[in-house]
Amino acid sequence: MSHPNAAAADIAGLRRRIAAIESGGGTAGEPLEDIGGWLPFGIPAVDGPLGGGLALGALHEASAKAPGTEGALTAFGLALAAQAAKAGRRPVLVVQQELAAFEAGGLYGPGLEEIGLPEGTLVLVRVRKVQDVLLVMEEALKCTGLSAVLGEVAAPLPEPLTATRRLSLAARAGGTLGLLLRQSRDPEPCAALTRWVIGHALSRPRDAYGGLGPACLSATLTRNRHGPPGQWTLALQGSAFSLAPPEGLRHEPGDPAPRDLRAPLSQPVARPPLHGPHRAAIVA
Amino acid sequence: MSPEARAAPRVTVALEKNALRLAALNTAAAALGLAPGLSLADARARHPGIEVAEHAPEADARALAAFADACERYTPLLALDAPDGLLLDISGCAHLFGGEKGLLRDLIGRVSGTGFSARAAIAATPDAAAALARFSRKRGCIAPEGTDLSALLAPLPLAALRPEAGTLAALARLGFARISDLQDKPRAPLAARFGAPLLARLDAATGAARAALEHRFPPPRFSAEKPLAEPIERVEDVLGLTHHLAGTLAAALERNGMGARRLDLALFRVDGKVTRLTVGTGRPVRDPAFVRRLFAEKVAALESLDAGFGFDLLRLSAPLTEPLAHRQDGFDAHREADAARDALIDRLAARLGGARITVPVLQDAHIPEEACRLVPAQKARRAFDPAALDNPRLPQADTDAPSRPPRLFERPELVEAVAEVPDGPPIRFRWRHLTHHVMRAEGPERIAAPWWREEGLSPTRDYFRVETTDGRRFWLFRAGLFGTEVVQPAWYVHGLFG
Repeated sequence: MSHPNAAAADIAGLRRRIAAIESGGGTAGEPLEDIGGWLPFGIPAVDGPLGGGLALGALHEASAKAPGTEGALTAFGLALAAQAAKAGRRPVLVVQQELAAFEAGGLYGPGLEEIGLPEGTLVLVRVRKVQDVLLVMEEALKCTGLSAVLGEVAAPLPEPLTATRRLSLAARAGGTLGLLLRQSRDPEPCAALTRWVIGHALSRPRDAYGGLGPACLSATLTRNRHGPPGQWTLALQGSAFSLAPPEGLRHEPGDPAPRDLRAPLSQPVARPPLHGPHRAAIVA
Repeated sequence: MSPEARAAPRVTVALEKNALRLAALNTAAAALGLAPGLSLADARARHPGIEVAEHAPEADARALAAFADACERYTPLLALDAPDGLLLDISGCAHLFGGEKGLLRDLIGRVSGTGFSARAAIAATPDAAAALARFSRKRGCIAPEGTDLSALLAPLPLAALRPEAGTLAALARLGFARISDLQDKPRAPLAARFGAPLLARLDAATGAARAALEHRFPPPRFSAEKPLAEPIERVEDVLGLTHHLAGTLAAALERNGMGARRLDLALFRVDGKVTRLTVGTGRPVRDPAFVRRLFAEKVAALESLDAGFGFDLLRLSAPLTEPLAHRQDGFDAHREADAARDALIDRLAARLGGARITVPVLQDAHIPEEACRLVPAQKARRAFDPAALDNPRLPQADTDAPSRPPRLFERPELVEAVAEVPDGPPIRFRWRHLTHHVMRAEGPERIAAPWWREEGLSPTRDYFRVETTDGRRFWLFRAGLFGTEVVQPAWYVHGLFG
């Protein structure tokens, strides 16, 4: 029944399939456009080493630099998700480990709106275990109805290489941006296309009287399949990234010292609440 | 329970009128002449050897509910007749079990198999059936269609009508013992003396008046079931049959232009236990393959489906349905994407529980923690609108930083802060054992508790957005106005900015 040639052909076919699967992460020889497009940061210095921006249809990993920098990590992830949603015209799904929400707070609608994810554009899943985060991420990445899937974990992944490999394949199948946010750094190998370490950075004051300007975060690209790693300080306004002005420009001699302000009107005064019921009346 | 143990006289006792009295007893105890209501002291005086246990009405109710579950195999229309009876509406069902006689034999056989004894009766009215089951001489009694119920009930004691205890005692004093004693008496004086309920019960039992049954579960409009000659145990078999049932159900739903929003799968085990699985969906569905996938997720979340000796009846019903019109599928990629997303949400909900998949919905409230609510995604009927992404609500022009944090603590966390009095921003604060020095601050943004709320009046909060010397941004507030509301205001961290 089984002819030796037929068996050899079967094995050759299987080898081809394995090769196709293995190249899933996007090896150097593969045309990059095949992956499904790019999500540019809009900063040539960052997009250059990445080959055009974050690859869609692939998994990326970002971890917090130190405990307590979850705010910057969240802002980084959500801003990218908001950009992906805008480009892909589809909502995003965030799956959070309950412990992560307990440690650093739950996602908050009004804040999400200011970062570019208004009501109705985000589905939030909360699960107890890391394994469930991975399961939900994999299912969601395969779904064609989402533009980005964010998974936030507070604990180390079990078998990180296998888990991230599965997620990469799922992201490739669905053409979705996958982003794994980790509240603690893990040196274990990982199949993500890029790995980032996100920390806080001092921002530039808004004006001579202090006040908060756009938030700054330090983004370190520790692994990059398409180019060299790098380190940048990015300023974030809404969901748009820009390069933060160099350190030297932040405290010019002419600027008053930030906390040396006790004169009348030195403090920025309260402004009308953005989301209050009587907002229209106040603005008028 | 072994036969020897069953043969020993056993009673249960409950505290009633300041004395422990017999509540229930077994056949052996009844044979000794004991009766419910007798005080335990009297019973022990007569028969010192009786075994006594505490009466547990909750356990009785649980057992009755388990029997009710098991009896759903005969009919979906079922009512509890507490504390010890079940009423089954078997209109149009009996032929499935070989006629009324066959159904009665099957029912008594199944109950005996579990170690309980049962008495059953079939009659045209529920009250007559209940009376016959309890007071007829036979264990299984059938009053065929067209029997004169008045004649059949006449020899039964008045207790069969279950009047109130006082009424029964008064009737006994007057010499009324059997139902026949009441039947030939003028009704007006009886009603005047004992009230209308007594006659109403008599009429309901004889069929002169109709009484409504209060069903245990509202009967579903759409339901499909499959009895099996050979019980099945494997999960794949159960899911395969579910697929088959869903196909049957889909045909019925389609004829009526409906889709299911909730689906119940009842798995009847051979030994009488019933496993119920419920899945909900965000939009009406009837695709059998999708229904199968939902139940597969549900079963996967259960870890194990305890099949015991196997399931011999499966019933799939749709208790909640919604109109689902026929639709011509076009080439609209967005509609396809929406459908894929809804299917994903339904699958995740079946696996993890619907409450875990949420969407944030903004509320019209000043207090920050009340300004956003997480609503289960399956219940939020708001469709995704891509246009919302194009004009986001950006921070107002007078600042470059967002005014609300993307992360908010469910409970504000208390910090030790050093701040300028009376209402300056914090200079430094200690949060989770780390001291942060404030570099820049914006604020205050004063948010007062809603005055129209009486209870839980919390102090006014002054919110500050601060950046520390290492670049972290926090949303802090001071609870209470210094000097007027509180003496020493407390500081809290409420959220984290990017």
